[in-house]
Amino acid sequence: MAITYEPLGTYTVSNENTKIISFTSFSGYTDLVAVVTGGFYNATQPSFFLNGDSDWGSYSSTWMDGAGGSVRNGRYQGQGYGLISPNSWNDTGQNFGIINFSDYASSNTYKSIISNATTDSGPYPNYSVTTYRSNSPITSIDFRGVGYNNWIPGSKFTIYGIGAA
Amino acid sequence: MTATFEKIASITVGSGGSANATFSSIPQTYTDLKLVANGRVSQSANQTNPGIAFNGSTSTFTYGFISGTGTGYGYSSGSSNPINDVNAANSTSNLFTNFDIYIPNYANSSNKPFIINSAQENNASNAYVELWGMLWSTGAAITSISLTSGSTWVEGSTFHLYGIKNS
Repeated sequence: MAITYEPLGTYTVSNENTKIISFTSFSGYTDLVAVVTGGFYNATQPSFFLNGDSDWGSYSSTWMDGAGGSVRNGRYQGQGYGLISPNSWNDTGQNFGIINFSDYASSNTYKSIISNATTDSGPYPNYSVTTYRSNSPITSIDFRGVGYNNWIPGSKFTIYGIGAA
Repeated sequence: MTATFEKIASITVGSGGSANATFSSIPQTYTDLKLVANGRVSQSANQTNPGIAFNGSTSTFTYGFISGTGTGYGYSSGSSNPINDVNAANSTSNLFTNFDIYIPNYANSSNKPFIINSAQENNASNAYVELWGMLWSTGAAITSISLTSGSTWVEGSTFHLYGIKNS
């Protein structure tokens, strides 16, 4: 029986000088789901870029969260990354996000990516929606901090492929 | 081929209701857990917040949640173990709250961040859509999960626990 929720790769950071974690080879699925836990030595927002494209102008994100005692929302346009969380992740490792890449293999639509995440501090739950303005199928995903800071060892990344049948 | 998104157990509440929905002896062979629920409680209110326990413990939980009701929105946080609003006895009949709980790395010995998405509808002026971020600051593998109604989960409430493997 075909697996409809299949792990495609997993990586756990062991080196304290790791800035970017890359995944490739996603063919044959309908959607992708990434699960990320961990944090950064110097707190920064967790993010991703696609197809090696960190071109400022390819991405825009809209987000909402609960932080500082109230609901906040914001929008970034013309960026070189998509958001996992608008909140910075610290070095406790107790931060978590699920990122959904729907219809990632389409060759005639822009891509919408939805992230649910929570941070250690607070906790602060948040939603982010990123538009990647490219009609190209997603063939690689790179995870990094907005500030290109080092992920802490133990930070963990898994990509799952979801089949439609 | 090994299933990588597999149902561990299901609970369907029968006649008379049930105070708790408890999954015990959770296998430690998965990477993450996902609990998908459709619940309603018997408390005399429009909505209420059930509780959650891991391994029988209700301590060391912290939460923060954002919510929208249709007439307002907000953020709240605290150091206890409530979960999302669910339909209670005074809400529109036959309406159950749909919510899911995702717990990554449940079997390791680290503290446990997790997320709850919920949608509590009501054919009235207020309903609650919520996103919860929670943290269980007990460094232990999760071997049981209990959702405590505070009254009873009514007949027809369902809870499904899935294990997800990353390899």
